[in-house]
Amino acid sequence: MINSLGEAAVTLMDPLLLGVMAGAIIIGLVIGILPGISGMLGVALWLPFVFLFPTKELALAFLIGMHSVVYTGGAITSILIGVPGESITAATCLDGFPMTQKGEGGRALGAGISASMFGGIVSVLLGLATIPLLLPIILACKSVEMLCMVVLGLSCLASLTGGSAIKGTIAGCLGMAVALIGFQGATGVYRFTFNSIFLYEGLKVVVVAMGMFGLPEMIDMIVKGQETIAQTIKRPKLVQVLQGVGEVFRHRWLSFRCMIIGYIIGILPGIGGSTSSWMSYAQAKQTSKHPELFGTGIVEGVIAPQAGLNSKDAGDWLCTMAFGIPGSGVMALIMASFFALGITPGPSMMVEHLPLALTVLLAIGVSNVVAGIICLGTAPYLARVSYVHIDFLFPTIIALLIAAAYVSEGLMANLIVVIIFGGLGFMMKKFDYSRPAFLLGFILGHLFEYYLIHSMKFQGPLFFVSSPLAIALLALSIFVFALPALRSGRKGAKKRVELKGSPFFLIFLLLLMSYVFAKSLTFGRWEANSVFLSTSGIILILGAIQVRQELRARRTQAALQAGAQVGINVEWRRFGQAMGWIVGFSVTAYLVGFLIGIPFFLFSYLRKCGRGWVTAIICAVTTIAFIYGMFEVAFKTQLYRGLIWELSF
Amino acid sequence: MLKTKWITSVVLLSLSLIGISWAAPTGDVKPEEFYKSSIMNFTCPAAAGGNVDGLSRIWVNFLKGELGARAIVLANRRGGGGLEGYMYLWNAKPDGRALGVGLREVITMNNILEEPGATYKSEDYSFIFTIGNEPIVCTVTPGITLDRLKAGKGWKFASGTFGSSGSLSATVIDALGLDAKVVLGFPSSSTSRLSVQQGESVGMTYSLATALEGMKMKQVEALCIVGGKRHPALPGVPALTELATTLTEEQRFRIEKLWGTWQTKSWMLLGPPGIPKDRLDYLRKKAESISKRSDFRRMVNSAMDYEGTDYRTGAEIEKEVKDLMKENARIRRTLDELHKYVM
Repeated sequence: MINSLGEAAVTLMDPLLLGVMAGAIIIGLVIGILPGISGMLGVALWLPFVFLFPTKELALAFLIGMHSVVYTGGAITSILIGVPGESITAATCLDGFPMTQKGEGGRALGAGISASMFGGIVSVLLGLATIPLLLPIILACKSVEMLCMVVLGLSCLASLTGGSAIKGTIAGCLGMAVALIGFQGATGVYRFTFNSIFLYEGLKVVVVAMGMFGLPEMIDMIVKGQETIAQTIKRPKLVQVLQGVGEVFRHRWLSFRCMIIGYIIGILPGIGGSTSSWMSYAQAKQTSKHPELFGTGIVEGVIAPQAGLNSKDAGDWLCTMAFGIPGSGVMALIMASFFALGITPGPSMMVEHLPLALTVLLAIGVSNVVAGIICLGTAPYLARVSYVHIDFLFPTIIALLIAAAYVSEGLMANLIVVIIFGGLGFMMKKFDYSRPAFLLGFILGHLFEYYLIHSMKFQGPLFFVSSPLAIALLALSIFVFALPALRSGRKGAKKRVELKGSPFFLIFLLLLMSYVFAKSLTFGRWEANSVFLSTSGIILILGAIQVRQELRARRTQAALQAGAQVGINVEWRRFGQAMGWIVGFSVTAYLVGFLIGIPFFLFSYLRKCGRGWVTAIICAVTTIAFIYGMFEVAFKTQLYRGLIWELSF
Repeated sequence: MLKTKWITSVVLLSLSLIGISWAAPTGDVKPEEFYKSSIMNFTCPAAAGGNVDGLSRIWVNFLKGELGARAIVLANRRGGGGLEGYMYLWNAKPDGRALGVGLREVITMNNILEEPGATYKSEDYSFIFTIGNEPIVCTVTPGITLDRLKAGKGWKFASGTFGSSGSLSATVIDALGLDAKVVLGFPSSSTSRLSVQQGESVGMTYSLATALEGMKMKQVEALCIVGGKRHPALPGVPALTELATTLTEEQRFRIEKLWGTWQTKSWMLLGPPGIPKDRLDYLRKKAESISKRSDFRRMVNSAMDYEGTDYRTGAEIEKEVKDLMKENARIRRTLDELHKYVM
């Protein structure tokens, strides 16, 4: 083993290999930063280049360099503009973006990037230490154990419910129900697809996350009349970035705990990276002395998800390479390229090709260090985005988001999804329904149903007592779920006064869930309707309890209205205007395509804001050049040319 | 005033574009001249990346050269498991400029099972060429013998949907008389294979390439080829008809005709129905010529993760699909009989 490690280290020092890795790291960072180009899509698009390399080592260095740093890049947009660059960096938005709003963007970037970097390094060490244990663990985690892991993840909802446990649970259940829209393979039932081919495969988390987290932040800035993201005049400097790096060491035990969580999630196939970031965030909040500060812009809320995210990588790679068990869709793709390179993954790889396997592990660590240095060096400049005026930022971000929504699947219908979830996300933010809880429910809803069905089929109805590990995980879930209530009970929590509610929004949700409940009964099979019935049932019961609170909140809001700086009517008018621009741009893009729609949108918006002709033209041209260059030239994905072009053609 | 000018300009521009396209002459032009310097579009019913997209891009590159087209624009239309792409191609203008790829067993099975939204008719597409004739292989836990399978009770086979691997596994169970059920809902062959490794499932039935992958990693062993004959890639693996002691006519139809001939994995190069005969013949000739090139075959083998790819002409695949769809009702009945094996 030591000899093989030495051989691996020597291989890594090859200048050509390091050069290839550096190039791949830049590509990986850009994939992470660009919303819409998910890690899977980005890797898939660049995969053919792997076969151009003369040796396996170079090809693997390219793959690793590209893939290992995607989440580090994703953190940048999550922190600076509140748009998750990758769907799994959505948790970083929760505190990263508020930190930027407070003028601490540099510190947030420093903390997030270095947490990612150290997460990647620690995961390599954990990987090296636990190789003999991995296969027994993976083989022991069958459907029942995986279901209990998902339940443990769902129990973290309790920490993500925000101010109101009832509203948070409603949000989580809503997320779970939305996740199940589409064709169910286990039964062949089409659920809530309304005969739309687009909905057969359900809604994609990357699009939902962009809508739920990206759009509301931009709309909120317009509604509140904010001129820049950052609300202070401090310009970001390198020293702030380095302060952020220092925070990771100051919170070293938190970082290490999240890295362990991420690594464990990484070795379990099928759970997914989003779960590791949300569980890390949730446990950070649960174990914090000031959980109420999470979501307001504290550095622990950035460190936790980023540390958890990157630390899953080594475990993921190890399971794919060493056991031929890909933990995710992108690893399945990478595994296919192993075969094409003449490498057969599996236990034999750890015997016959141990130096190669260790080269892969060490390369993950090196990639993370290099990516970390690049990002930390450029962070002070990147953070200046938070001082760009909203007149320029709003149309640019919206154009990028909408184009990204299309590019993610090549479907214009995704624009409708982004807009609907953008509107829903804004309402949820305004009326205090936890968006993190919704997204966690969305991510885990599908997994919960999948493992529930298989647990029942493989183990029978008493599956939950079929293994000691399952019993232990369930017990832990109950504890984790009850923990916030136990802590607030000990502290003697004051009765919560509802200030932000809206009875109309809640009544709309209740009517919707009544329809869902009734329709679910027609699906015929328990596999197809049980989760829908339970989630909609929970929402109906909790919603009925909450309605009274919402009505009281409406009276309180009316009393406060007189003193508010921005009146409620003005807010709704601005919301309508912002949505009007977004919808108008989307319709234009649908008719004439992005290549015309984007510059037209930028130009029109800037002129409406009173900016000069030259400024508007320059911004319009620069934005379309950037978006075209990134999506069409770099990633070879075609931007929609427009209905008129398609009809003409 | 300025607003009105802008709107008027956009509307006028759009109308002129539509006018130009309608006015463009498409009369009696020889196919060689028609395709030279034309702009074509190519539909891939899968996401960018992956082997289907890879195959599509290979076709685009080679067709552009052979036809002398100015450009062939590739569009990934992956919604509804590829249905979005198949419907787009079905509704495209049949002048020979719109092409795409489609997986034979998916296109035909959508019709047979009457999937909502699949309003095309498989047999009416314009068939240009086909790559692949990959058989289906049933794989099981390493070390488990056929005798043990027959003697045991309560076995489970991991599968995706009923229309694909589910009915395949059910066919094997039915033919061998096993006490087994099919568990549906596994999203991919990797997850099915993990279930076999963990011991929850005893087997799975997927394409040859998937089987070879699992066998190389020693995660599964091949039990049989789901068909009436062996395959050169696995000469030691018997066909299902060799292992089954007695087969009814219906079982034989299912194994030899449905799965062994018509539903082997084949990637068709297609156009919408109604392409003029001279252009279709021209495209077929060009595709066949491309398929004989060694550089093309090398790239296809790499994209499809499988070296023994078959190549068949448009006329051959057209006959196969038409023969298959003539038996639509019978296939539907035979598949309905297999539902009893689904858990």
